[in-house]
Amino acid sequence: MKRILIVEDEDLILKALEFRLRRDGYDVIKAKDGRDGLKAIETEMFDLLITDMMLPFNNGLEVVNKAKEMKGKNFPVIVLSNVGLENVVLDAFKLGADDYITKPFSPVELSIRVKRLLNK
Amino acid sequence: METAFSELTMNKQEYTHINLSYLYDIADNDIDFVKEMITDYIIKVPVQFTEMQTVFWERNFEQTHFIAHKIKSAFQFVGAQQLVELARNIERVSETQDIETITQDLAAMEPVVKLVLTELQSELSVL
Repeated sequence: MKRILIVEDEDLILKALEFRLRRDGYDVIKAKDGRDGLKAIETEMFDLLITDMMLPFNNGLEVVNKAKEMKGKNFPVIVLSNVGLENVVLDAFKLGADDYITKPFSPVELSIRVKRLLNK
Repeated sequence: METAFSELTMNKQEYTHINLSYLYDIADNDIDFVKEMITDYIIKVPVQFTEMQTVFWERNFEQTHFIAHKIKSAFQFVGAQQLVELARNIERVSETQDIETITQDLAAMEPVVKLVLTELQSELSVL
């Protein structure tokens, strides 16, 4: 079973992402802020990272950077962003993020984007 | 006895301040999950709203911006569009430290936050 790390501090979004991804047959690991996210990247085995950009302690860019540094530049990363944060998303892409999902997310879009990256 | 999802969606109540279609879409027929999400909202959002008021009274605009950004997502989940717009505006004007607008927006939000909670409790009672 593929494992996905979600780094998201907003409870309802975290819960909804976890619910949908488990329903799609994935195992999910959760981190509720940037600091826990960095720790999870160092200690956990997982196949894909989904991270919010605006996080307490360490921001999403640091999380993306760490994942690429630790897991390699081809490691799949999806960033979550709200409308209006396009510049931050661009910065995440410069660091190697592979895709992005706008909040509030569409469950169908989430499934497709995750599946696409995991099957690459 | 558990109520069938189709029965619930057919008997959906009409609300003025919320629209739960997104939440039901995410839940994909799982009523327990809808209950869990609404309960979470009822517990956490009032606390988050009070935090936003407090950090604004302390004139901490960075935190006001941060919480407005975060609470907006919760409002989006329950389709509280009026609150989404107000939170979005607070997020925007926090950057210019516009005290007057934030004061007005927070005052406008307070009664609507309560009305949204009442409607969510009403939904929860029929699930």
